Amino acid sequence: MDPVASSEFSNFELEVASLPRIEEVKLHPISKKYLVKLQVGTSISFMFFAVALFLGYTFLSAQFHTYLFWAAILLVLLFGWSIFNNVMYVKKSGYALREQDIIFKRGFLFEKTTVVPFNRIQHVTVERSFLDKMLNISSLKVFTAGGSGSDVSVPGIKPETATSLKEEISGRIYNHA
Amino acid sequence: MPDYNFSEPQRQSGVGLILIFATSLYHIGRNLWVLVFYFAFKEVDQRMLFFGGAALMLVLLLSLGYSILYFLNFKFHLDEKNQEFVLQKGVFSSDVINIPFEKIQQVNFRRNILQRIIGVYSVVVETAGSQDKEVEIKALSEEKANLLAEKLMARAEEERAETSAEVEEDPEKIPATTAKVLPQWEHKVQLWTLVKLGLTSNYLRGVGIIVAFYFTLREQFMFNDELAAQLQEPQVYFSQGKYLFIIFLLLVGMLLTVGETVVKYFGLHLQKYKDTLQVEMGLRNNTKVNLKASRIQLLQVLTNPIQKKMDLFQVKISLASSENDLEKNQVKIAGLPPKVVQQVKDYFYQFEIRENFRVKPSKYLLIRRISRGLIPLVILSVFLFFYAQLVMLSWVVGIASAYVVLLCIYNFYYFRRLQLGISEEFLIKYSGVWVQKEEYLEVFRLQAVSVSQPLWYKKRGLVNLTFHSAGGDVDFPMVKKEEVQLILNYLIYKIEVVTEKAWM
Repeated sequence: MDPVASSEFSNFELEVASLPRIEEVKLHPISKKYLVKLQVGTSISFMFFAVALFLGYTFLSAQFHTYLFWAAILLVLLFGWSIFNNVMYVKKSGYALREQDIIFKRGFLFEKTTVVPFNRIQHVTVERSFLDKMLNISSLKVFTAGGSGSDVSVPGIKPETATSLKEEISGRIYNHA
Repeated sequence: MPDYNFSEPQRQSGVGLILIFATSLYHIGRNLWVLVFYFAFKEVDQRMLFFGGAALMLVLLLSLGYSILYFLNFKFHLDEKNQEFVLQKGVFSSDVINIPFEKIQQVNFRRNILQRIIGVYSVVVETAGSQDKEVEIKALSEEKANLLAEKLMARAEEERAETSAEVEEDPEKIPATTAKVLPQWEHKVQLWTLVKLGLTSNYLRGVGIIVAFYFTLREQFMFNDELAAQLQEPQVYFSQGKYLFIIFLLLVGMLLTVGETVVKYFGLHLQKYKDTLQVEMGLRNNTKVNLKASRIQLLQVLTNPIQKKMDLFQVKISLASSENDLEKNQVKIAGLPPKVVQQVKDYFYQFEIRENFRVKPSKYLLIRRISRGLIPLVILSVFLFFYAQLVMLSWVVGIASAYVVLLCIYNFYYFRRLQLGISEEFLIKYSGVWVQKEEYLEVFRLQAVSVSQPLWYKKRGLVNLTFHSAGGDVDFPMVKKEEVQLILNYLIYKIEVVTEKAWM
């Protein structure tokens, strides 16, 4: 019943070498519109800091101005980095469906690839936030029994694609169960 | 033995009323003890005393009424038609909890001191759902509790066997009146073993308990200046005899650790029956858990060098949990000799564990850990550069070099110990310098696999691995990508194609 169970070590290795490889799978990129969403989010949060700085500049006495100046420089640097990070994040992230599993890769500074076999998926949902609706994208969420660590949320997929992916995955979960 | 008909809604044992009343009194008391304190410290006149007494009587009567209503409204039964366990409760509102048989994970027993005095058991039904994870029936006689647990587990097994694709053989119907079955093997942990276990554990936990106790006490008494002042005194002691105080603290910590271990594992008794491992333990809260091999997601075996010499091993068993706090769904069994650990493993795993090879972390892990450990020294030396006149340089150099030596030795052992064993059916992670840990994860229990790579690992081709299971994640840092790629492909292939076994 188990082709590998009875084999010896050398055989084991041979068997392994002929298996389908994760690293050779070509990933679908996630939508550029998701980048817009990320940038909007980043800009809004930095806006708060900018307003705080501006208020500080107008209301605080002149002796604090040098500190504020350095804070502003730090803020600009951080903002630039975040914008750059967002661009790279979207560029580097991608997903792929194989016959038996879903692969999701994300992150720029910390790249992380998660492989979830269909026969371990508990359920799948498609979610859309307000901004998602405006940009006409949605995210696909895959839940497993392994806690939040192994749950996967693929952002920036066209709603139609997301729905058909969801149908596809649900169908395959069902086949396994 | 009377045959209980669980298909009719029924109440808890009559003595359960005492338990409910006592519990509600306990809750009231806990919330009002500040008030009691207030009266004790203040002078009260007759009128106040009268009103206070009347109020107390009223509270008692009300809580008695509440308890009676709670008892009368608390009903449970097995609904054979809809295949579920039904529990109704509530005094002002009425809750109905339905648990489909197939969702039942475990049925455990629990007893606190009061329950033991009045001779009843708590039956705790654990489910796989995310809400209402536990349902507790607090007062059942031993017979009835046993019977209910048996029936529930039998139903749960039947349901699961029906829903899962592979039906091997009919699950044997457990006859309603089973004679006392003898266990295949059993193991009792003696009191003296527990004392040894406590003595060789980490005392810092005990010290932590004292500190926490002190702070809660101080907080509780803050409204009373006089008492607060009294409690401040340890600081005075502290300045008088630092070393004595520290030794005293450690001693008390040691005693507390021993005490805690004994209370927690008192009367630890393992009994292996045909298809379950029963674990009973605890002095204050006595629990009886039935472990089924099919539910075990992750197994950890822990020991430290001293305990190893004394044949004391701890086994932690993680069960499936939908919550994120995986600690909670863990059964810890301590003080086992290696033979029993092996017996436990043999029961859980049909396969013999034969490792094919081991994966070791990259040597950069050792370098990184040591260099990170040196960071405080660098900061210190920068500090010294400016304030050199404040301290004796020879002292600093001495302590610093001792630190560096210890750091290197510790990390060397950490690095040498950290290994990932791979067999066809298992992943085994070895780790820990003082507390040595072995984590066993069956390949077919894997839920997902993650590979992460910080940008600066790329050049060296290193990755971190995470194996997700329903009983928790197993991480393994800094391995060569090319070395593990094949293994990952193999593992995923195993989950997807080869394994037809249900993981839960």
